[in-house]
Amino acid sequence: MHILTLAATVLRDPDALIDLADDREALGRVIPQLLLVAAVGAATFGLVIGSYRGGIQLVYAAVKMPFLLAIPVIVCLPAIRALYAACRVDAPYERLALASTVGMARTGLLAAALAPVVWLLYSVALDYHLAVLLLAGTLALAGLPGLLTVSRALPGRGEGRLLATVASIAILGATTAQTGWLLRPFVARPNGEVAFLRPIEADVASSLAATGAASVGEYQDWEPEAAGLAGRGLRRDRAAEEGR
Amino acid sequence: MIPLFAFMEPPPLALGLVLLYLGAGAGSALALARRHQPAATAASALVAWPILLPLLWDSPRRPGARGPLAGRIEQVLDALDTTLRDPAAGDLAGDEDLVGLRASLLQADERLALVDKLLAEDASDPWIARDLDALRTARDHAMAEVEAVLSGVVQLRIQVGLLALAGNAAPVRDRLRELRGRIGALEEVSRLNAR
Repeated sequence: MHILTLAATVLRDPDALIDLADDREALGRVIPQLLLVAAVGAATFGLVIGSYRGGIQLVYAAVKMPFLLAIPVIVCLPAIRALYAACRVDAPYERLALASTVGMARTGLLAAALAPVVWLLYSVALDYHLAVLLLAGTLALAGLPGLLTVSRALPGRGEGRLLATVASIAILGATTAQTGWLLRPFVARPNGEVAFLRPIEADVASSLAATGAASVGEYQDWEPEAAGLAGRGLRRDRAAEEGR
Repeated sequence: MIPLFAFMEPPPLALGLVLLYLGAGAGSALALARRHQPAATAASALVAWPILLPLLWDSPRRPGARGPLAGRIEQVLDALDTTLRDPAAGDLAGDEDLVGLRASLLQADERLALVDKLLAEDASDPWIARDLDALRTARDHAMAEVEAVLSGVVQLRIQVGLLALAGNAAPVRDRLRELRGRIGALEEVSRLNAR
């Protein structure tokens, strides 16, 4: 299938693509194309997000945005499969994998479609905190059809289907949000240091809450702290510096 | 110098996990290449191997016994494939539509072959004879459905000419999916009857 025809089918009739899951040959051909569609769509959106700061941040955001879509799907796929198995719902892995990839491609395309609106709003000198909230809101808006695509592709029968579906959507949503935090910054502060990645500190929920409060003028005394296993080294370095 | 990280060095745990992931990706890419998967599929396994796992653990399917309609299925679908590949026909249908329909029809035909083997068993026991009658009825129904789908494919091939003139691809794809859906419904009904 031509890549443009595939992109149109992803938007118009994603269920038709998911029905190819039983055909291994078609699966092997379609998945790389779907990954490419998702990557190009996400990179386009990332380019617009990076334009808030400009310069090298354009490239950084464009490179990281496809990973923001791909990492949650890749990480959560086995967990979602296990959830459905635990709820005694027969959800073939290949169907889940293809549905997730179609959902990812759909999100990438919708994010690219919303990019001009974001670019327009960024061009009117939006406050940094509002810019971050706009990014989060746009991704949520673009991600919802993708999540619904995955949900519709899953089996319609089974007692625990509703529980498994709701839990899967919650896991995907939370993982996407935290992945966005780990891969930050996408919207770089106008006068801040530009970096590809920042230290692993705090979590997305507390950061969004602080950003939301700051956007309406309520500045909280929130400082990110190194957290988790991956932040152990950073905590050790900071403790050593304070000890000097 | 372009700053890559805001701190001096990335956490060793993160680096280790990334290397492990990429290593698994490289192994998957090699395995897919050995299974004669397209180069793009093998390359995408480097970063997305969890999504491509079904291609790795699925061993090449042993072809089942050819059923009563295998020859006719191949003849009809080959004829449609030749017609659709004609440059004058344009881009009326994707390969995956026809490949999917062929796979579904051949699977239905293999099931008919299995049923024919069972029906050839000795039916002198009255209990077995009764079950075989039910099986025979189901087999005749399934065969009629497959033949109806093949008739639909023959008609579709004739319609391709008209649709190519009109430049309207949607009806061909829709009809192929409808035919495939009919075979899928036959499987579903068989599954329900078997419970």
